[in-house]
Amino acid sequence: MLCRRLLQLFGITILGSLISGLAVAQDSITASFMEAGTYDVAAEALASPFEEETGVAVDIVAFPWAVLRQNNTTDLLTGAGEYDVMSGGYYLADVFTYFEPLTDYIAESNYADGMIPGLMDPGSSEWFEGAQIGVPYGIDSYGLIVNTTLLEEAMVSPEFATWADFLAACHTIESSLEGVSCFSHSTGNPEQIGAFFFSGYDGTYINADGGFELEADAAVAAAAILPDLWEHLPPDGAALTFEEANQVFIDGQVAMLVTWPSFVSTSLDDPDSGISDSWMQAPFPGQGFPWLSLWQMFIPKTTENKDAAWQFIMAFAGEGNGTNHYNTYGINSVWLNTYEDEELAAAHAHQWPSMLSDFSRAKNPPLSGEAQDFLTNTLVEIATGQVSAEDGIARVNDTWATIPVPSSLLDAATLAGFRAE
Amino acid sequence: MALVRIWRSLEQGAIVIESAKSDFTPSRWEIFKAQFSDKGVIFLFLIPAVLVLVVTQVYPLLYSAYFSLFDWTLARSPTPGAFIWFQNYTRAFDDQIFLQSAGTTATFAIAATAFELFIGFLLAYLTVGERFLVQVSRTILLMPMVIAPVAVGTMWRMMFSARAGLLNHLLDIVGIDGPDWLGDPSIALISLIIVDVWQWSPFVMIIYAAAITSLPSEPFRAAAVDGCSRWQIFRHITFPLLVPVTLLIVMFRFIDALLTLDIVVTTTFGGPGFRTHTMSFWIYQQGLRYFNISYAAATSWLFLITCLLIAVVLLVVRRRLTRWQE
Repeated sequence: MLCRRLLQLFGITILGSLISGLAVAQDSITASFMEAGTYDVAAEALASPFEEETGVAVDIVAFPWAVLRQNNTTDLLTGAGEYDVMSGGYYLADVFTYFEPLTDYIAESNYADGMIPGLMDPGSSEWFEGAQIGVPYGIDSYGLIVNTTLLEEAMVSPEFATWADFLAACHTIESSLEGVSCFSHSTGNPEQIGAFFFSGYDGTYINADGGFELEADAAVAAAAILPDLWEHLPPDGAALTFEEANQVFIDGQVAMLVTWPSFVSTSLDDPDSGISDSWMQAPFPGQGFPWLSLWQMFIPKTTENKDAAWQFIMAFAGEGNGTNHYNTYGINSVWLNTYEDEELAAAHAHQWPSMLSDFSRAKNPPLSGEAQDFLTNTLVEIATGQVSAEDGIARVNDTWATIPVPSSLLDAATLAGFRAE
Repeated sequence: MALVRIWRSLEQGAIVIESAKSDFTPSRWEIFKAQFSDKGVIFLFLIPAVLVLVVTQVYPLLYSAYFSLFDWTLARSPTPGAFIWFQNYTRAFDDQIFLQSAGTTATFAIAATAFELFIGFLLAYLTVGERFLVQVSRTILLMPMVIAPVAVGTMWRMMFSARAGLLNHLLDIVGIDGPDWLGDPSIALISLIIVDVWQWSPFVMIIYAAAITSLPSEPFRAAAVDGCSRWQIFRHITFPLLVPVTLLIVMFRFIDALLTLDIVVTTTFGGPGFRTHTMSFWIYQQGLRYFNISYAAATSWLFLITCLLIAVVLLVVRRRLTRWQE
């Protein structure tokens, strides 16, 4: 009798737990962000007010970029459904099929009104089979930050049409300024070398047959300059972290910094930096395109409460937050109203003109993660003299021939002019 | 039910013992039955462990061998594609980066194991004994081994930093211009070897220390009586006696070094370029980063077979040497 009663109680407890678990599952979502002290912190700050307003609890999880990319992909492929909203970009092309089309949500809420023109288009935002799947919330494009005092001393004007012009300026700078190297860059992150190549290469990435392929002559020309550029890094500068590269610039040991401006602009503007009055952003060199970083939010198809996920996206990435996120966390806004603010524009006159000009030219290369990794690792080998530009590019094309192009990239590549006819 | 069987088998075992005591001679069938029952008990106790092994090791291994024969990229499809026989295996031998990774792994494993043997032996020889200070030194020397490899990699990445790291700072103090440990392609692999040697020499030390302590004392006494020098004792007695344990250490460390992944991920991430791509890192990239599941499985099998062959060769050599010593 006692046993039976105990069994009944046990059963009720289990059932109760299941029901409460389901209730919790419906009223809570998990969102993944990059651990950067910006996007993730902004999202955490939003979680409580969002829960108060909607009754939906939001759990924010943040990882370094490579881990975030890995965790998002694994979550989608295994169907684990751990994250209801994901942060990412074009490099998730392999798994676009797992994302929910957001076109209807966007149309119903007139979400695109007020955004920088073009950002919601294919080639900037991510689309799959004719439907938009990613919603932008943070924009950056590779930038050239210069120390105006040092460049004036060296009598160099920071306007470089090509990397060859930049290289010529490096010679002038280093011969004019003792103990100052030309530029620093986060050389320790191998994927970052792509910025030099993408902007120096003006060819296609996908051949007429729909396979990955670089135009050999143009690619070799863009890659061949890398070893020369690497000669002008600061001493022992071939494996710098972002922080080290930034610090070398702040300390005046280099005259220029090639980086994501949003990673450094706030600290440069800090009056204690010692450089707040002597830096500016110059137009990014090259006949290709500045590398675009367009952080977007995606909703996986496995997300149970898609409406709540969309509500969170609007609350976080919406027009009302753009300026606030820029001022508080240094997140470059995707909304026009931020850049139309005259006071802000005046305060950032040393950066915004070039930054906005770069935004208008910036693009993503139509590459899957695997194709991009192979290219950038090979570019590092070329830059460090392990392989010649000719052999390196030939190897890239050989290997790319074995990597299938995700269908999502083909349309984007065609629209962006990256596919050979 | 199982307990009843165990009891019966024990009873049958008792019958055999009883029969041995008495004049009764059991038939061959009875002896076989009794022995089988005996082994049956052992098998019974082994079943849970075997089941766990089958589920967690054998099944995944066999399944990976099966789908290594397919064309399957998980990002493209949740199910395997076409059956392509051994194309994934042959593709590996045409893959420059795979072959380069194999070479890098072999270089890394040979160099790291050699240095670990030398340093570990030296440390063991210096720290044999039970004096308090020796014991404390041994404990301190063991510390690198108990730190998580990821933490070791992160710590060394900071120390290797060419501009702000501890190593170059110390070298600078003595007037040496330190290299770019992680950025220079000719140095990066050496940096990884340094980390591995730092972490695993204590393991070699502890095994050697135990082996040295347990060596028979008679040959040493005899050698002392014969007036042998310390070098002669080491050359002709200590070293030959330690050869079997050396081969065992070589097997452990060499195979472990072949499998190195964590310190590569945390220090160089395979770079500069592909310079420090080890086999494990390469397979990790293919399987878990690009989700080329079948290709990663095929290369994992090639790698597994290589490791097994090395282990078998080392075990055979060890057995022959041990026989020779006997």
